Amino acid sequence: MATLLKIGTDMFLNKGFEYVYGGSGGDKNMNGIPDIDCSHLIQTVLRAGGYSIPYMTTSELNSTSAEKYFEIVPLNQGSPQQDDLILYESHVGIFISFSEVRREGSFLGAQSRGPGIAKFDQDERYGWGLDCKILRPRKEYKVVAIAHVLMSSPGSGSQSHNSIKKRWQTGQEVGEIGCRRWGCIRMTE
Amino acid sequence: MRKVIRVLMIAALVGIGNAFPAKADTSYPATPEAVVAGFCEAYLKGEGLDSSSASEILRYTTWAETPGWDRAIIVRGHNLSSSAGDGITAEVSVRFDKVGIIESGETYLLVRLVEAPEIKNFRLVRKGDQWRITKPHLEPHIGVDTAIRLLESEKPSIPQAEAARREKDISALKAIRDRNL
Repeated sequence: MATLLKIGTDMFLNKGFEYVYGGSGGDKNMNGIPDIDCSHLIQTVLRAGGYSIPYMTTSELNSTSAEKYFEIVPLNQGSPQQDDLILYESHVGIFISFSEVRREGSFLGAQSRGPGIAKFDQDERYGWGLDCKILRPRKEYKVVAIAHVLMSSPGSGSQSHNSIKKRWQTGQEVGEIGCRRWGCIRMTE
Repeated sequence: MRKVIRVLMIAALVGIGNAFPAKADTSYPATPEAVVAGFCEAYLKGEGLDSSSASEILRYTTWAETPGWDRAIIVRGHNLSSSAGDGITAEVSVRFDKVGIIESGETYLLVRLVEAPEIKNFRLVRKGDQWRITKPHLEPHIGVDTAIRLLESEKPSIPQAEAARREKDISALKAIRDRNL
């Protein structure tokens, strides 16, 4: 079963995205490069992971209304999992790891240079400290079990894009995430 | 053989050139107050709201990255209210005249107008011959004109039902801007 981290990595890491304020996977500033911001990256990954959780901004994720969809787990080594989100006052990412000995960890998120892996530690050397929340999506909102996420490379005319589309049309894959300017995402069971 | 000598001479000249350190960045602000002012001015103009302008913000900070923000604070302006330091670290307080918040909703930007002062304390450290901001990881505090520009640029792609609300938001922001002139 693919974790949210695996899905997020496959979809966004080194896939040619940039950050644009309000970017949701399209090309908001019309420069030919797909763009994404932190909360839209999370929403896309949650959806691709089979969760039926509405889009929430980081402000909303920090409010009590988020508790309907997420449980809060402590940041102890071994406690967060790679299906958890790491939430700051104005940033959100997908948890990767945390070491209690070194008091540092890492997460995948949309940062200023685009999606990437960021570090956090108790001294906030990278801008992010230990003053964070770990959010675990509640199981009851997982409506589709996902084994793989297929994503075409950017550029709707590419060979991989066309071959994925063809397989979808013949019903070889199920569960549509969406087709955007930069390509398509669809899941297999 | 001549070719080899020529290549060796060029390499030697390049080596001599590299032995001299590059000139100090004279355009970089010299004091903690000026660094914070430069940082705030860059945000006010809308720098840091995309990858291509991130470096305009990161040049003032110790971090290599900021979040890919989904929220910005709209401000009428800001004033440096106090500063203190010991030559290695410094603290600079800034008072922002906040007029609202602009958030990236699922498909379009959402505006909430809330006028209130906001005080932020910046911590800086000296790195080599430059002062750099270490805290806080401040979200963009953009000017009213920048907010209007963001909303105007989104107008053609929003649903009709939303368009009326968008017009209202833009008018309200223009009124705030004009009141300030």
